[in-house]
Amino acid sequence: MTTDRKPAHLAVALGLTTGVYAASLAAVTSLQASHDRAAAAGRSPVSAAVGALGDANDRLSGGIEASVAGYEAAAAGYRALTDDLAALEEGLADLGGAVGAVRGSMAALPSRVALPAVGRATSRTAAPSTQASTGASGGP
Amino acid sequence: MASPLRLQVHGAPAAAAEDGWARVVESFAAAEGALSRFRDDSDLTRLNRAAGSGMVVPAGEHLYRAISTADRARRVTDGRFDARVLVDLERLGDPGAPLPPGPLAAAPGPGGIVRRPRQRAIGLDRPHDLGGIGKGLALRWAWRRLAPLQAVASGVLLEAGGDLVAGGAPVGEPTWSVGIEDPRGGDEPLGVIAVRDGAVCTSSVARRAWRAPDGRPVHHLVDPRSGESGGDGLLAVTVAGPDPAWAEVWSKALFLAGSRAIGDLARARGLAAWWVEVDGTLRMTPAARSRTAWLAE
Repeated sequence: MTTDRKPAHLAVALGLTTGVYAASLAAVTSLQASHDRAAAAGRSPVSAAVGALGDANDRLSGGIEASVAGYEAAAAGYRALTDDLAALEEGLADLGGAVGAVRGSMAALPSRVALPAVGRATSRTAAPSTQASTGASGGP
Repeated sequence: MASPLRLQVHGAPAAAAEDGWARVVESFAAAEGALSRFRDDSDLTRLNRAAGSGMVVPAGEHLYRAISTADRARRVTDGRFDARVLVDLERLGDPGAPLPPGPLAAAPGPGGIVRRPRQRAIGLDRPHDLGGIGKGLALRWAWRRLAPLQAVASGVLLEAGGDLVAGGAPVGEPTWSVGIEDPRGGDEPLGVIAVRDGAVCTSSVARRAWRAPDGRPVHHLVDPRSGESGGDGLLAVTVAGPDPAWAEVWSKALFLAGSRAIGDLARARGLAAWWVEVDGTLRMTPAARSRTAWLAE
């Protein structure tokens, strides 16, 4: 007589194996998550420092850009001043030439000018009345 | 000083004018008693008698201020004005109250003056003649005492022997009209100055001129640099300014510059100055021209 035996032990073994595997996987996953959390907590100050460094870099870049703009403005002002000084020098040179011309004209003028005799046409005005006079004092 | 005084008041009650006159007389008497080198009992004579002895003696308020102002005037005028000319004046024949004879020792201090402000005490190396500034100071002090009168009058003018200080103007007039006397004589002025608020002082050799013991003609304006009468080529110098003491100082200093240097000096200082040269010609600075109302032809 032949008895059909169902392979129940295989199913049990497979179930047990699967359960062990699942438990092991859960434990490993838990350990991995815990490790990840610790690593993230350890990296947090470094991230903050990196962020601050980035901000400082941004500010430095802005300052450099402002300095460049100021330098360019100063350079433009200096160029304008140079142009003005050049114009002033030209004006002084013109003035020097004019002064020289006046000196030459002065040298050419006669030291004395003979005026024609003019008859006295105005009447002599009398001194206006005064309230006081200033002059020598008689006392010591 | 011994100068004739005259006070003109316009547009004020008679009582105020009389009060002002009393103040003027009192003020000038006090100045005379302090600053005269001719009075035997003046503060200046007492101080001069201690000059050169090294003594520092108490001085009254007027004398202390006058010596201080004269010392400042000497510095401001680069030594053209110097009150330490009394010895030279007496040598030339213009004596004051008697002073003790003997050599004069120099005392330490700027200008030969030792000042003790807290004690109002002064020591001099040489006797001082405050005639070149005393009248101007007396006018300044009297003018300050006339402040109540000036507040109620339209015009006040105070004269002391050819120098004057004025405020306001006569009723109906824009300014006071002050004639510049001709130092050669004559009734008509050489010019007329318009004065509203300020002083006018003149240094002239028309009077107080005499012959020195050796017969030379000299006058009272002594150049401190030479010890002799100065002002070559000039007969009179008039200066107008805000303060009578400084107007008098500058009239002396400009006179002693002489006819060659007076124009440049007066213009450089920005002074309103008129001067009469020995031939009677009246000249003036630009600042003076703007104040000149009339000129003789």
